[in-house]
Amino acid sequence: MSASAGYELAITAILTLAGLGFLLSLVLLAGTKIFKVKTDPRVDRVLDLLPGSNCGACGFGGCNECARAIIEEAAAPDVCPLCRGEAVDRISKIAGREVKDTSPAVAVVLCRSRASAPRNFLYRGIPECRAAAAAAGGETACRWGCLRYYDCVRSCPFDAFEIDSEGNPVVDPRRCRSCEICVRACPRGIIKMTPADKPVEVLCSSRDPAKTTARACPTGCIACGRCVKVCPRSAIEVKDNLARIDPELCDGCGRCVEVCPRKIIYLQGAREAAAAGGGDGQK
Amino acid sequence: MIGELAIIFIGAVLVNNFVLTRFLGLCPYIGVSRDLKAAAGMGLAVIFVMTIASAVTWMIYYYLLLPGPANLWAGLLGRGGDLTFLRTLSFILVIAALVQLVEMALLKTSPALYRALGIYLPLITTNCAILGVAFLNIDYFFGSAGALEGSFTKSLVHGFSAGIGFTLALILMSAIRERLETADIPEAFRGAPIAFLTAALLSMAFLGFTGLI
Repeated sequence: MSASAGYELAITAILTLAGLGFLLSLVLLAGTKIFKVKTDPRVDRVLDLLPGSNCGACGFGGCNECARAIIEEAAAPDVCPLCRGEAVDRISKIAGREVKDTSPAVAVVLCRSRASAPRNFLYRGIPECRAAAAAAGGETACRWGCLRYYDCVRSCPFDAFEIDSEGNPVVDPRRCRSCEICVRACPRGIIKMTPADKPVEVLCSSRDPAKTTARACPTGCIACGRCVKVCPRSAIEVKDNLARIDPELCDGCGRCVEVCPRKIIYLQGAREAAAAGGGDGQK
Repeated sequence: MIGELAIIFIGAVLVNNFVLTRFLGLCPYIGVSRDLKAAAGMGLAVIFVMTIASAVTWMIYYYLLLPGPANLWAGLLGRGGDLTFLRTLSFILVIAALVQLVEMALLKTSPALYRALGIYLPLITTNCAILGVAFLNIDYFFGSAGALEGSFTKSLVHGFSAGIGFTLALILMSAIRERLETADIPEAFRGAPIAFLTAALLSMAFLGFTGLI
């Protein structure tokens, strides 16, 4: 091949590809104009409010489908489990529909111990709760207690955990998106989903008898029943050596919080304040 | 001609099945074969795109890349060089743009079909089976002297039947995998391993078609 023929070939090659690219971009541009679909503008506005992660948790094929379903009244405005609060309000306003008031569930770690809580032995293994729980039943003297290797904190995709001054993982309910990943991550099963507006919570999981619990943890529920007696609405019952509060009945008066000798009943707000303010949110 | 086309059809669907014999398009084969409905949607989209891509890449190759009387550059500049080395680049470009256009057109004209094909339509832009069918068309239907007789129709039929073959393999696989869901599989084989074993067995079964044509 002569030099000029090679030159010519290069030119035609460049022209061919550039021409093709140009032509195709024109065709696509024309396509967007010709095939422009008028969509309900509300769909786009709802789509803006949806998380856009296309996780499919709503049961539709992505956020786009979900937004369309909401506008076409095939789905409730609060169908997206990742959307809550203000976003749901605005979506239902756009869709022109009321949403029945459902309180979303948030995760709560049902253990609020002390860094100085007794241990059976010192664990020096892989720093993961799963591994620590497998080693001779876990090092904490309380077999229901938080192991404090923070599998839950690492598992949270929304970074909703704080660690208080005593080393307890605490869920920030404003950041919790109810994905329940931490619930599955906890080998001790002490993370529970509770209504976000549940006013009072007993932060202990111990089902052991009072004597065992008292020895194992300074802040374990000893099932003394004082909270049960003081509750004006009989919302509290002690079952399996553990006080539990019925969120349907509880009105958040806070009398049980004052009377609890172990100081493990927390008012909403105080739970998180304890995390921010240093493990002593009772005062 | 009809006989030839029939042979191309049987050949692409059974004997040289794109997935099970040529091992093209394996990612959707494993990825989308978990349930029957999605597999059917994917298959439909692949048939559609393969047929159209066959037609368009044939035109690109014949009019732009291949030297000869039909070459556009020969008409414009007097002589056209051999640009066949550009085929990979230009085919990918054209297929990608084409799928975009088809997607837009479908959304406008047939939203139901658009929704049925769903995410699979844009996904198969980068499916190797599509590019594979375009290349095989050239290998089969273009001789050293240029396009063979009836090569355009043959390309079209080949693209369509390759899509059918892909869909057949995908649907067979997904039907088997749906049954495997409830089967008692040893723990180490659950998930991908059993899927690969199944694919291998299916592939061996299709080996039996070798002597058909």
